[in-house]
Amino acid sequence: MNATITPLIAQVTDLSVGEEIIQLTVQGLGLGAIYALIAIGFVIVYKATEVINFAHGALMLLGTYIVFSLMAGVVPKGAETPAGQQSANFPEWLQWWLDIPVAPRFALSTLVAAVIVGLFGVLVERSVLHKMVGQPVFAVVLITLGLELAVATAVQVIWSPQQKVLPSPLPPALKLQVGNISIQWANIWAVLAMGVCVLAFFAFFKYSRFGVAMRATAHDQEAAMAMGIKTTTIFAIAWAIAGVLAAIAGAFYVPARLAGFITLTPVRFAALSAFPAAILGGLDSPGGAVVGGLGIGVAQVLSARYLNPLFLGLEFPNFHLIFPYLLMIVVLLIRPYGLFGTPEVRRV
Amino acid sequence: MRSRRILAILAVLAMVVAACNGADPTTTTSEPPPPTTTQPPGPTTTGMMDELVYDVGFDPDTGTIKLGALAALTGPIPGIGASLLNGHRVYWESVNADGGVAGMYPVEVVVRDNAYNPETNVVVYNEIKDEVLAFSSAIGTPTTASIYEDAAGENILVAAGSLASQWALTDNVLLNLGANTYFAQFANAPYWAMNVADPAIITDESVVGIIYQGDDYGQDCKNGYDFGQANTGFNHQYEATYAATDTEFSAQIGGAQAAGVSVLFICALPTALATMLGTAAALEYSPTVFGSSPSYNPVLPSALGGGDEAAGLAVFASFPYYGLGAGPEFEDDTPGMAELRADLEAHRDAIGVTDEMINAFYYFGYTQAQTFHILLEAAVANGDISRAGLLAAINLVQDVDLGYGGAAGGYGATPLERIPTNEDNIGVPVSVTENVFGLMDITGFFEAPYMADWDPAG
Amino acid sequence: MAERLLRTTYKRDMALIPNRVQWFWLIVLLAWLFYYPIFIRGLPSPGFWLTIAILVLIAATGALGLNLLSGFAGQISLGHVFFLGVGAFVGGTVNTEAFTTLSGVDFWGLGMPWWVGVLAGGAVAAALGVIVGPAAVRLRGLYLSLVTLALVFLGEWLFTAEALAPVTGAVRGRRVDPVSFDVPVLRDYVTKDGEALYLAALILALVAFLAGKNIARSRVGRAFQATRDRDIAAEVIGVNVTWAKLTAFGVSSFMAGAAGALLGVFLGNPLGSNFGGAAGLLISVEYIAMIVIGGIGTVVGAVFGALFVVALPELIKFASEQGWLPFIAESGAGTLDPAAFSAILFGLFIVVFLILEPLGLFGLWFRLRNYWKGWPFSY
Repeated sequence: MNATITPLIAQVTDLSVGEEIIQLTVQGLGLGAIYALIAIGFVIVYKATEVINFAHGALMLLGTYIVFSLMAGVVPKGAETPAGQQSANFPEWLQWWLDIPVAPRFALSTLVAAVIVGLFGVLVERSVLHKMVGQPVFAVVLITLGLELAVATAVQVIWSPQQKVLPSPLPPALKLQVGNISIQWANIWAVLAMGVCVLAFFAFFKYSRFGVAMRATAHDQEAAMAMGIKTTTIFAIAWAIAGVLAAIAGAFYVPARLAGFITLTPVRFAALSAFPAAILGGLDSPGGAVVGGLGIGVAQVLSARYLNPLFLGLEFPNFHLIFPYLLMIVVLLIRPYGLFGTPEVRRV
Repeated sequence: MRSRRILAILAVLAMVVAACNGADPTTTTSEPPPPTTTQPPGPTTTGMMDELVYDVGFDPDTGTIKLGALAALTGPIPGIGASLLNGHRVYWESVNADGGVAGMYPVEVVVRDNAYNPETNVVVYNEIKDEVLAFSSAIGTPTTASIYEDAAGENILVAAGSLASQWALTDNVLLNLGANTYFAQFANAPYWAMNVADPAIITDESVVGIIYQGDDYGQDCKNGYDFGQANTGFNHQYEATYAATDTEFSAQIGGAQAAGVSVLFICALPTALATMLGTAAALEYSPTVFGSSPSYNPVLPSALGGGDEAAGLAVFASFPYYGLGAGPEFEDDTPGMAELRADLEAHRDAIGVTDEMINAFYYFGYTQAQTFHILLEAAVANGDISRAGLLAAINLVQDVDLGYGGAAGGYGATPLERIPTNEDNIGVPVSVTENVFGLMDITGFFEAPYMADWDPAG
Repeated sequence: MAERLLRTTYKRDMALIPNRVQWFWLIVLLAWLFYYPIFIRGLPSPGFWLTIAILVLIAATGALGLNLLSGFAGQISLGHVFFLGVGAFVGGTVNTEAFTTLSGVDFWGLGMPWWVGVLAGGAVAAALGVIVGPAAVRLRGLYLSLVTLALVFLGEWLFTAEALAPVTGAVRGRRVDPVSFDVPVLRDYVTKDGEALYLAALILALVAFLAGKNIARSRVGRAFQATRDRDIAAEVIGVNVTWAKLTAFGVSSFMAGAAGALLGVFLGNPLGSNFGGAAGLLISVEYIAMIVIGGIGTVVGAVFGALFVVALPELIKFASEQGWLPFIAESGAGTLDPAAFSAILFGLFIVVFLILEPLGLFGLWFRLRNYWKGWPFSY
């Protein structure tokens, strides 16, 4: 027993109401950026194939664990996979990789993971969904669900369900101070990553040949085919992009939201919380996904701070959990195809 | 070493049994299935019972006792789940290495994964309940809640992998002799912070608040906190809950900051605690934090520091952070801990224990098996290892000192007596290289005087 | 033979059981279902076989309801689990006596027989289902299914709210008493709580099946299908589409609520988090899997689907626990153990099965039947 007691440190900074709102909005944008990254992944697959991709969460999980392996230097071996980064088991010839400073290594790891998961997306499309063109939509949706179950469980078997620590240059305590407002670097980087992805995405859509073909396919599949566009290639590209976005979202989700802890369940189900964002913006609108993602993130944080106390008084705690869904319902009742979605023309 | 200690336990039990003779040990149970009597196999030279009553989960040919363990190997808390299960397995492995219970009845543990999900728990529980005598480990408060009524109906004893004090209110769910309750952790802490700590951590100027997980686990912490508040009169100003699936806590932390909270109690799980502290640090907000025992995990500083343990420990120290229910330290020079270390070395390779699994949850799983072992010894000494016999044997376990430095504990008939101990100790985070469980004890075991007034049934 | 293949009258075409062969098999099946609990008493793990059967029957009831809504009326709903939850808590309150826990928490309860609880759970769920209906009138397709997703999270929030604690027990869950049959004749047949629940679930599933069949072949069912296929056209020919959608939600929610009441009994201590959040969504999705795998829009398909989705993973798990497959680790090893193996295999099974047969088990059955009917002229 050691009787040294650290004296109390009470440094409670006083924020004005305005400053507090700004502070919370900044936090909300960080959360929303990740929602947006996930939501764009949903949107792009939906645009190309009119299918909600339930396997997105599993792609995100796969990306996260690849980033972990690269950052911690761990070759996964199922149950023998050690949990901590201390037990790196990279072979001799890869040691140079672990000597790279942590920040560039994180960026490179994320890129490598994005490429691998992107290729995995193509593989899945080619081997499975490719065969489902023209089949009932819900059979296809269920297939993505079966894939989710298989891939997520395979990740669990390969890396073991033990929790892991992701070494990253973005620990939650690292922050930027602007006056009384402090901004976590993890949030800044999440927003930046989202911004870069969105810009690259729009540029791709607008200027590349595939992008234009993709827009054409999304607009009218038959007409596009008649014009000589290989729609199946387009589907594969959509899945590749979804895979890339999922891996990037996973890499930023863990340091920012889970304090560097990787456990399967929260990462696997993180994609679900981005559903309201995708729907709010309109399922076929990438711009809508960004607006929806950021909006839902901010709304969730602000409602937790200002609306939760009201409902806690009525003995209905955790109001912020359903606030995004209520928002989504209200928007949909006014605009049935989301804020920026395209209304479907109904023929009799 | 083990056999010597077990003989000591048996000596205690023998006296207890003698004292209880005459009382019908099965009066608490209804309609026990017709028990069978057998000659136990193997040598009976120990002078034990010649005849043993049994029904389910005992194989008279091999003398094997079959127990069930419901573990959380997947789902939200695989880290806690694997540590707990492996501590449990190592203990039984070492018992079997000595020949088994009473030196002649080896124990077989049937493990199922409940993924910390109540519904999965019901399915896996039903799958093995017909073949096991009892459940020597069942992780989780909400999960155990889903099965204990059915278990009560079939006289099945369940050792809870949960510290919720509500289990004291049941006849068939057993709390661990090696730990206290969430209630006791939160009820004791204010006493220490106001009256023992020097300088006092909670003073008349302190504003106190609590953030707790919105379920049974959090509720037990909150009840303890309220009890402590009622008895010490600290200035409670803020409370907030969060859902177990939440990953964003700026609202709860920001709310505490806005309320001017300078001492914050947190009842959470490791990932949530790390994220909350990270958020608080980012908001330049550093209240003194008291966290429940499942909130802290020794890999937490490493996670919070982005892989750098020292950086993460600095974040913890900047609050500062006090871990409630710290329990004994791995390095303690106590007979109990010496045995735990010896068993770990002897059996870790066979069971597959990695360094990351050795933590307070490992200790919990180990002592849970130890508690159950003592109970089984009592039942064998009593000549009845039927399900009803095992339940009846609970009251025979009294004044057992597990040898970890805390007070002796045991069970009785009333809810209050079903709580092994109300003592607590508090620790501060240190590097796992010097302290394997990660929390350095700074208080020793203590109990607030007002804890004597608490009755879980009241 | 000719009579079997050709239906010469409208009445015959509409008949529930068109011929004697079907009558024969139906009676065999019913006899087997009632004999099942006695049969499994002799098996190695009777508890396991009973559990699986109860879950399949409860799931079949729920799936029959969802099939009417999604398969017939075309309203794909992800919120089915919400109605199961409502049924569990309302049914539990009705069929359990009021009680106070040892820690002093008061619960409401009426102590009525189990079937009253089932009806009450169904009725309250149906009422709530009709309230959700208006959203269905406004939204279509995937948007509707994703809005019903909100019900999953709204449900968890409501079920765990302290304000509703006398019914739901808030985060602690509530106790639900087992089913009991106070009939002397059944004394030897129903010897424990699990067998009583099996009998109740079997009765409920048979009633639901009959109701599902009858709704499907009646005017209501045809209105549902018209709404599903071409809602504007249906409106033009005089089908009240709004009415059809609301009825579909009401009937489907009723069946879900009734199934939920028994699911609550099965769980013993249902928790709000069983019926909401990520866990709840998985259940909703499982129900959709049941009707799609069974063959969407067919009443028998819903039952087959329930059997497939509920029993298959458990059977794979059970088989791999027997140690027949050397590469499977023992349960609890945390790696390729039976639970993980069954999850992967089941996931892949869904994928492969739907690639080969997008119309589901019913499509498979249909093709097989036609093949043998026309054999040896298989085209």
